Parts: sequence; C-alpha cells; structure tokens
Amino acid sequence: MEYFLTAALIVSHPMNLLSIFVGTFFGLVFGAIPGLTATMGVALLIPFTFKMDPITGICLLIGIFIGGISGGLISATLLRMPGTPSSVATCFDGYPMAQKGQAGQALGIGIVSSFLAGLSTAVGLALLSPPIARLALHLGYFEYFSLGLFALTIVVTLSKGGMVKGILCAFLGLVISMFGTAPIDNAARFTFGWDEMKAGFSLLPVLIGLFAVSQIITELLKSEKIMIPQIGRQRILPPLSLFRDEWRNLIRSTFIGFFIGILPGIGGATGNIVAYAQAKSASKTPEKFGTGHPGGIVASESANNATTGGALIPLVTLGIPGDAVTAILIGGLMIHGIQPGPMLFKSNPDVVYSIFVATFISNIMMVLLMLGAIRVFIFLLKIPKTYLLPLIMALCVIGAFAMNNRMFDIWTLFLFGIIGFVLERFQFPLTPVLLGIVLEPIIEINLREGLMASQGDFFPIFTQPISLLFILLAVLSVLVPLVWRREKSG
Amino acid sequence: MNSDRWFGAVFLVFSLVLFWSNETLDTPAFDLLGSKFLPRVASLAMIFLSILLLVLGKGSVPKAKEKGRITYRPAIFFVILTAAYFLALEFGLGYRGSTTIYLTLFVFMLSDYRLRALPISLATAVVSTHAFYYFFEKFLQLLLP
Repeated sequence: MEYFLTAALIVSHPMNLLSIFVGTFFGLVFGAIPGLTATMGVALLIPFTFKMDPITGICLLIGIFIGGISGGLISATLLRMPGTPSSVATCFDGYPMAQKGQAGQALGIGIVSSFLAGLSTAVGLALLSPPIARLALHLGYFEYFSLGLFALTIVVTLSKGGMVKGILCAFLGLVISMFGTAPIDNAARFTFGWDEMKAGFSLLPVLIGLFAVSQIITELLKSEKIMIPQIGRQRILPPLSLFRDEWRNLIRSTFIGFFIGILPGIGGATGNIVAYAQAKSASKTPEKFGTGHPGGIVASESANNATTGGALIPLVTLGIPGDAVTAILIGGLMIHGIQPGPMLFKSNPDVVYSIFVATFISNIMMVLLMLGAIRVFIFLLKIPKTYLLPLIMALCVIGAFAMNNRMFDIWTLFLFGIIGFVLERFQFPLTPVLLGIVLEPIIEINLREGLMASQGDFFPIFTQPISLLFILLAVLSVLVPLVWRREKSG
Repeated sequence: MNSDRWFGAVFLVFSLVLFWSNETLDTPAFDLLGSKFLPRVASLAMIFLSILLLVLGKGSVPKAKEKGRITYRPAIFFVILTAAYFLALEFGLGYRGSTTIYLTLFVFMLSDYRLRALPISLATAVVSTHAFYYFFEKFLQLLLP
C-alpha cells in the first residue's frame, strides 16, 4: 500500500499527468487512423522519451499503449477498417450500427466497454503482479530458459500463415538478435568482418523498421478513398439499460481478454475475436450478431482493452512481453536502464507501481478524451496520407538515429522496413520475429549460465518442476494445434 | 515456382551463410556450450524449415493482389527515394537540406506527380523539417543524422 501511495504521488506530478494525457491522445490518434497502429505509435514515440525522467517516459508509453488499443474502435465503427488488429471484431457490429445511423451509440458502447474493462484489468494487474513477481524470484536459470522457450512456441503456434512460417520467423528473430557480440564470452558472431556489426542490430531501428516503415510501404499500395459517416449531434453515452442486458457479456469478455493478455505473445488481436465468438455462442439471439448488435461491440472492445492489463503482467513480473506492443515497451524501458522482471519489484518498486497507477489513470484519460473529443478523432481520420506518411517516415529516421547516433542504424531501419514489408505481404507473421529478438537473450544467457552453475548437467531442465512444466507446456502448445488441424482436415 | 518456395530458397541460402559463418568463427572456450551453440542450432533449424517450405510450400497471394488492383510503383519509388536520402545523409549533405528535398519529393509522389502540388509539397517539407529540427535538436537536444 505504501508503494501505491508513493507511486500515486509520483504519477500525479503535473509533468507525469501531462505525459499520460499526451501519450493517450497520440495513442488514440495512432489507433484511430487505419494504417497506423499502437505498435507503430509506441516504437515511434520512444525517442521522445530519451531526455525524459524514466517515470515520465514510462507514463507517455503507457498512455500510447492504452490509447492505441482503444482508438481502433473509431475507424472500425465508422469505416469498417480496424485501426488496430485488436478491433477486428468491432467491425462486425459497429459498422452495421453506423450504417443504420447509430454511429454515436456504437462508439459510446465501445468507449464505455473499453473503459470498464481497462480499469478492471488495471486493478487486476496491480493485484496479481506482486505475488507473481514473488514467485518469479524463485525461478532459476533453467526455469527462465524454459519460460522463454514456452513464450516463443505459443506465439509461433497461434500466429497466422501456418506453423512452418511461424517457426521460421521465430528463428529469424533469434538469429537477428545473435548478430554482434555474444553474451558471456564476447565472441563476435555473424559480423562478416564488418566492424559496425560487432555491436549488432540495435533494437529500436529494427522495431521501427519492422513495424513502422513496412507499414508505410504497405499503405503506399492502397488507394481507398475514405468516406466518413457523420455522427452529428447524436448522443454518445449509451443508456444504462444496455449494460443491464450486457453485463454478463462484459464480465466474460473482460476475463477472456485479461487471461489471453497474460499468455506471452498473444494480445488484443486474438482476445477480441475469442471474446466475440464466446459472446455470440452464449447469446440468446446469436443470429443478430453481425447485423449491428450492441453485444458484439461490448465483447470485442472490453476484451481488447482487457488484454492491456493482462499483457503488462508478464512484462513487469517476468520481463517477458505479453504481445508485440509490450515487446516494444520492454525496449523502451531498457533504453531508460530499467530491466523488467521480478527484481524490478525490489530494485525499483517506484517504477513498477508507477506503471500500475499510470495504467489506471490512462484508462480514465482515455474515456474522458474519447467522450469529450470524439469529433476531433473523427476529424483526424480525414488527414490525407499524402502528408501523413512522409512525416511519419521523417520521425522514423530521427527515432532510429537518436539512440546511438550512427548511420548504421538508419540503414538497419531501411533494411528491416523492406524485410518487414516483404514478409508480411507474403503472410509471414512479424510477431514471432519480434518475440524471437526479445527472447533470444533470455533463452541464451539463462541456458549458458544455468549450465555453468550445474557444471554441464542438462538434467535440471527436466527435473526441476517449474522448468519441466514450461517445457511440457511448450511441447503441448506445438502438438495440440497440430492434432486439431489433423482432426479438422480428417 | 510459387512464392513460398521462393522464400524457402532465400531462407535456405541465408541460413547456409549463417551456418558457415558460425562454423568458421574462432571463439574462446569459456563455458560448456560456448557462443557457437545456439547460432548453430538456430541456423540448422532454419535450414530444415527452409527445405520444408521449399518442398511443401503452397504459395501465398498478397492480399491486395486478390482484389486485383495493385501497383508496386509507389513502393519502388519510395525505396529508391529513401535509399538516395540515406546516401545523402551518409555523405554529409546535412539533415535539413536532404530532408527537405526528400519530403518534397515524397509528398509530390503521393500527390500523383501533379505539378500544382509541388508548391504545397515544398512548403510542407520546409515547415516540417524545420519543426523537427528545432524540436529534436534544439529543444530535446537529440543529435540528428
């Protein structure tokens, strides 16, 4: 409790509140405009935090994260174009409602559902993280190695485009992270006699390249003209009676989103679809889903916002990302010298509890901004790509260079922009690449140090119960989808 | 040959190069596994998966191609323009000069090369370049390329 009060005092500093406000606003903008995503927003705005106090920087990044996931609702409802992958299911009922002249009500239902779910999971994050971190303190080298392996396999098996492509992408991420100086003995790997390569690929240019530059190239290929329905003076706040009918749906979807968020590597993109499917199957009128049923929006929006709190749990307690955005958040924290994981609760409790408080406040700011300034965000949808894309590219260059001030990073940005575009174009998933990059040091360092500690004995990987549990879960997460697919095709 | 098989071939060459590079590496024997172990495992796994993709690949159709309205011209122009911009930065042409030219051409390209759009493109480029310059270099004191 003492830590909470301290964190509340820290976060309530005007500079930190302003930081959350600005972050949430830009997150909503990135989430709302199709083609810009929360992942891109966090990657692009990390350089803005370089000169900030770490907690102010974290407040900004948390704001973008929460805002980015929430903003997808606007374009999903008005344009049937999910601003983020987390809002795909919102299109199913949001857009038909907008077509019936109920755009304001659809947006209101989405905003309130997002807020209630986001706030509940912020509380869940604060309640569950400390005991998980206490447990995680007992994890040794082999447990961390197995956990890293499990996180990687679960991402691979749930990624789109087939398992072979998913595994290949995960290994691609692992080898990208191996370029440069190795841990422990400082051997220079994959440098091809090139001095610049000894430092390897910096995380930030790789992330901006994969998720922002590749997206810019993708957007260049599209030529859709945007027609935005008017919401006029429609009432935004939904009637209370609606939530009397949908409270079960809201709670169920929040739980689904929260627990999917906790699973490493899976985020809102999966959570909103699963919650929507569950809401539809539990409904007395499933035939109305997809035709403008408020329950569809409640399910999708509460689930995707619930994943934000869930995804932050493995990040703060284990140092393992819950999804693509939190993988970039880890990069952002490390740039500020903060290593997420259980030790953070001991070494920097102010930082951990500030994350909890910032998540809570950001959800409040999100609902206030969305309800108060929804017309501003709708107006921003009209910004032509002609001006938006070049400005984002200019920001990408600044972001890639700012960390180490070397031209090599600019070329890294360019290379990974093209790689990301080509991979995604041909349905090779990018999330396993990202997770591979982030998890490689965890897997390699813990395996090697574990073997040094056990004097070369591999058996503890299989004899220590928690390590064995993660290894079994990793094996199951590969085998179960294979069996399901075989049964489906058989 | 479908796209998956092309990718299989590219990944195969890439992973063979990585494997060769790793095997020719001279590393100190500091711990049991050493720095060559995981790169070896990863490159061998990639070789196996690339062969699998080469043999079993069914091919993936880019999403926009399915809709039958795609032109790669803007993407190719973007890549060439961006490479030229980075070369200009590399050879010390200066951030403000090269970024202004880059943004002007980029906005001009996205305006379908209409000459009427050129003054607006230039104005946008000049204003945004200088706004970035003063915000990042002067206010945040970050170095720009």
